[in-house]
This record gives sequence, structure tokens and C-alpha cells, in this order.
Amino acid sequence: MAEAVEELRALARDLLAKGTVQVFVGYGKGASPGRTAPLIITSADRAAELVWDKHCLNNLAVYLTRSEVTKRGKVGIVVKGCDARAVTGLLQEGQVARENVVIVGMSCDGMGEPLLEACGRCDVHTPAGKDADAHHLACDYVIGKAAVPDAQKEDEGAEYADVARIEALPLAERWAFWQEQFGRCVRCYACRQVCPLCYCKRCAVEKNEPQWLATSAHTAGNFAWHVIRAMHLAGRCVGCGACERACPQHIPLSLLNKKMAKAVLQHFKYRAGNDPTAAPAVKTFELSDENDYFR
Amino acid sequence: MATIITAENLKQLAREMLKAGYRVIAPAKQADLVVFKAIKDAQEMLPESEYILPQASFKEFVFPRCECILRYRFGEGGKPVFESPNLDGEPPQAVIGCRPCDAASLPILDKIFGWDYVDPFYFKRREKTAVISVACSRAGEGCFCTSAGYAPDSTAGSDILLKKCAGGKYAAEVLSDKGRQLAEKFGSLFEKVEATPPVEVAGLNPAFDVEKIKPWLDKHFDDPLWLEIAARCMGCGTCAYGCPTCHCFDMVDEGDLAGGCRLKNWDTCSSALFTKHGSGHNPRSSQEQRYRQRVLHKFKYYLEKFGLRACVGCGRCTARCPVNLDLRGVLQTIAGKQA
Repeated sequence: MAEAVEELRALARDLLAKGTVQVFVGYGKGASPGRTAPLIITSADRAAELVWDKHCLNNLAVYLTRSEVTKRGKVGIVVKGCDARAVTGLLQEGQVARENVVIVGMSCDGMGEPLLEACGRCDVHTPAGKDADAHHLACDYVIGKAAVPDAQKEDEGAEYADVARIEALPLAERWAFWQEQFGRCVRCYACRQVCPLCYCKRCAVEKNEPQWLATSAHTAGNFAWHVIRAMHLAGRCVGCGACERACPQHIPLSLLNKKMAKAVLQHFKYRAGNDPTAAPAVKTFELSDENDYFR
Repeated sequence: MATIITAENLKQLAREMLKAGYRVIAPAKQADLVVFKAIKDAQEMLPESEYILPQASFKEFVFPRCECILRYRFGEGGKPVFESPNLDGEPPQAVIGCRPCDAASLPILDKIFGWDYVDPFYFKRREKTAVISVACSRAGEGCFCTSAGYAPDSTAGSDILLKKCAGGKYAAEVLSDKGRQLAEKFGSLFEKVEATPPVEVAGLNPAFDVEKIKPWLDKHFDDPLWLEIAARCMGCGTCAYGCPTCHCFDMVDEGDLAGGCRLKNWDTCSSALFTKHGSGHNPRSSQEQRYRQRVLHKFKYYLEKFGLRACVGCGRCTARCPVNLDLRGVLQTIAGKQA
């Protein structure tokens, strides 16, 4: 990682100095040991502040749609293989123009100490570079080569085992489980704010003529919020887990997201963020669809 | 004369208070978190050695995240009937085992809720609340109470302050009438000794000089520093909702054709909607402006208006922040600048 960070700093310094990008988004030192913090720099002499270690958990793709970053010019951004999926989603949905961003892919052996559970199942340790085929997001630069081999594609049973555990519960128990989980929600919207795919300038929960959803942090309002959030991310969530990590109340949001992903995979054979040329599941239809409500 | 209570008797105090009809609020486990909880059983109360700070302050018990302040229904002939919830029947409550920083937030909250309009919902709960805090014998990584003008054994807001002594005992400092009444009512659990035994209080060097913050803020409303530090702010309410002193709320009506409820809900200045006008204009249109508001409110406006800063240095905002936006570091930077 020591070599990679030097390479990253040199690259960022060069991109900023030459004016290829005006702002560079990477990771910097966190306030406490075991944490990093997103670092947004606009001058080459700050490139030395960039950090690359086991704690670069944040999905920085969220900044690609933030005016606080984009108003400063063309953006250079650090992504891990998993984060690249969110960038793919943003490109597919027309939120980011490929020519406005310089993507620096970091090879990654997995994040967190202990290793995040999702990293154990990772199949994109080394992001795809310029030689990638059209079905992969091609990073402009790829730094390093992962030492860890990509995980074998799991069958759907193993991939969605935690969802299946909840599905198998009797209705009353499932209801009680989610009541307990959602009852804790304080409606801080950290889940929404850190999500790269939750880029709406005005969220459904903020529309009040009429008020579609209760904004109050009571259990009924929280149910409405979390179900709508999951539904709006169905076929779009790339499974980065940023929402769950950001939740101060430790609500297992990934379970909801995975439930949606599972349904989309089963019914539409689609995985979000995998292929920049694919038509997003919720953005397309075919006249031959078996369901007549499309026609 | 000094007063002592053993750890065993502190638990017994919670037990007896529960029996006497008190709502007892104490640090307890909730899944993998330590939270302030209205415990049902004294066994739930965590020993003080097992936590430094619960993940959020106990403000929820005086200022709930969501509270109905007015009910309405349409009575005969469609005439509206209004009804205000009555908190008189609420039980007395005691917070046991909070830290002095959280206790110190109460006198700060009293200012805003008792200012131009005395908020009856806040004060009903506040009057019924007794605070038995425990001084910190160790500081957490993110703690900066000594920089914010407080200390690991500050007395502000506490009715009884406990300080750790040797042998699982605590020296009890009774600080208010409410504290005295409790110490008398449950007197058999307290022990009188000749002199206060030596106590363990955490040492924590201040990270910055808080007096230097406001002079800089006074003159740097449009400083580029704001964008530099806060472009990364995600705009969520994680900091505000864990904060002991954040007090902003939104009012919403929820109802149907038969009637409904007016609710007072937590709100946060980090949110883009917070200042948005009906016209569509937003005077704080970007995140660095919102973050600046957060700092100015806590370290300038509140101080000017009420003579207190709206920060006790608990450090939760930083610890909880999804992007680790470090308030202590920001204040350190500001304090190091020429005003």
C-alpha cells in the first residue's frame, strides 16, 4: 500500500498541476486512528495529504453529483472496484458525463480491520483499466495490482443467504423484526445522503404538496421512509453498504437493498452497476414483456 | 462529612427508583450499541466501567425526536376540537450514569426553550428529571470537554455528581435541591464518611483555546476555510441528532379527514431544506454555508444571546459523522488563526 499511495500522490499532483482536473477527491487522514476522511483538494501541493490504507471505506462516488465539488471544475476521483459500480450507475443514469471526470482506480485487497464482510465476497479487487471491454467501466488510471484473488461467483443461494433467513420467518416475526429496527430510526437521512445513487435534488420525503410520506420519526413514518428508500433504489443500488455504515442506529439497511437486488436479478436478470452499456432495469421495457401493464 | 455510594448500591438505587414509579434512564445495550434507555430492570444498567459515552445524548428524554403537541379532530357538525397532550401525569424520571458533558447540556437547552416562549413540553419533562452523573475516570478518543470550557468532573446540570474512588465506591456530591431530596429519600443506600476519599478523574489537556474561536468567527463569515473544511459534509443529521445541545425542530401536521396531530420533530441545519423559503429561495444554498451556520450557531450566536456556547465537547458529532468531519480539528484550526 505504501507504493500505491506514493503513485497516487504523484498522479494527483500531476493532474492538478497540469490542470487536467481542478479538484481531486480521495482519502485523507481521519480524526481518530482507524478512520480516514474524504479529502477534497484543489491544489497540487496538497496531494501529499492523500492516504491509502485499510480504512478507506467511504464510497467517494457520492461527490460526483455534489455541487460543492463539481462547481470547482473537472473532478479527479479515487475509486475502489466496488465504488466503480456506483460511478457506472451514475453514467448509465446520465448524472455524470464521462469526459468530466478522471477516474483513478485503486486495487484493493479489502477494507476494514477486521475485513468487511462484503470484501470477502469481492470479485473486483483490481478495477478495470483503459484496456477494459465496453461492458466494464474503464478507469483512466489503475494503481497497483490486488494480491488477493477475486472471489468465485457465488450461487444466488449463498449470495442472498441473509435475505433468505428473514424471508423464512413467519410474517408476525418479520413484522416484529422490522418494527424493532425501524423504531430506532431518527430520520437523520445519513443513509440517503451518503448514497451515490440517491442524487435527487428533492427527495420524495421532502415533497409536501401533498405530503407523500410522514417525515416524523415514529415507527409508521420510519416504515414508510425505509420502504420507499429501498424501492427507489431497486435495480439501482450497487451494494456498496455505505448507507448501513453511516447509520448511527445500526439499522441493517443492506438487508432491504439486497432483497430488492435479489428480486431484480430473478425477474430481470440484471445486476446494477456492472455494465455501463446495459439498459438499467427500471429505465427500460420491452413490448414482449410477460406483464401486460407495460402495454 | 462526605457521602459515598457503592456500585452495588447504585444499581440498588435504580431498582428502588423503578419500584417507586420513576422512569430510570441509564446507559444500556441495544443490539451492539450502548444507548440511553428507559430501563425496565436495574440489571440492564451498564456498569460505568463499560462505556465512556452512549452513542447519543439523553436529550430525547426531555426533547423527544418526535412529539405530538396538539391533537385535533372534527366533532359534531364538523367543528374542530383541539386537545393539548397533558404531561402532568408523566412519571418523575432520573438519568443515572450519564457523563458531566451530557448533564451540562441541560442548562444550555434551558436557555433556548425558556427564551421568548417557554416551551411547556420541554420544561414539564425537565422539571421531572433528576440527573445523577458519573465523572469520567478516563477520556475517550474524541473527547474535548476541557477545550469547550468544561471538565470530566463538571457539575453543571447534575443534581448528584459521582466520582470514582477505590474499591468500587463513588463519592457523591449533592448539588441541588432535587439531588438532596433523592439522597434523603433513598438515604439508606448512601453512606456518610468523615472525609472524601481520593477520587479518580480523567486528565485531558485542552486541544485549543476556546476564547479564540469567537473573535475569528466574528470576522470571517466569508472565509474560504468554510469550503475547504465542509465541502465534504454529506448534509445528514447524524451530528445534530447525537448532539446533546442541538435543539432545532420542525413542526408538521399529520392527519386525515377525521382529525390529526401537530408534531414537533427534530430538525437539522445540515439539511438543504432547513432554510428553504416558500418562495424557493434558499439563503444557505450550499453545504459549506450550512456547516458554517452550525459552527456559528454554537460558538458565536448562542454565546452572544445566552452567554453560553452550544457545545459541551462530547465529540459525538465527529465520531458519528459518516465522513469523519472533525469539529475539534476545525476549532483547533480556527483557534490557531489570527482573528
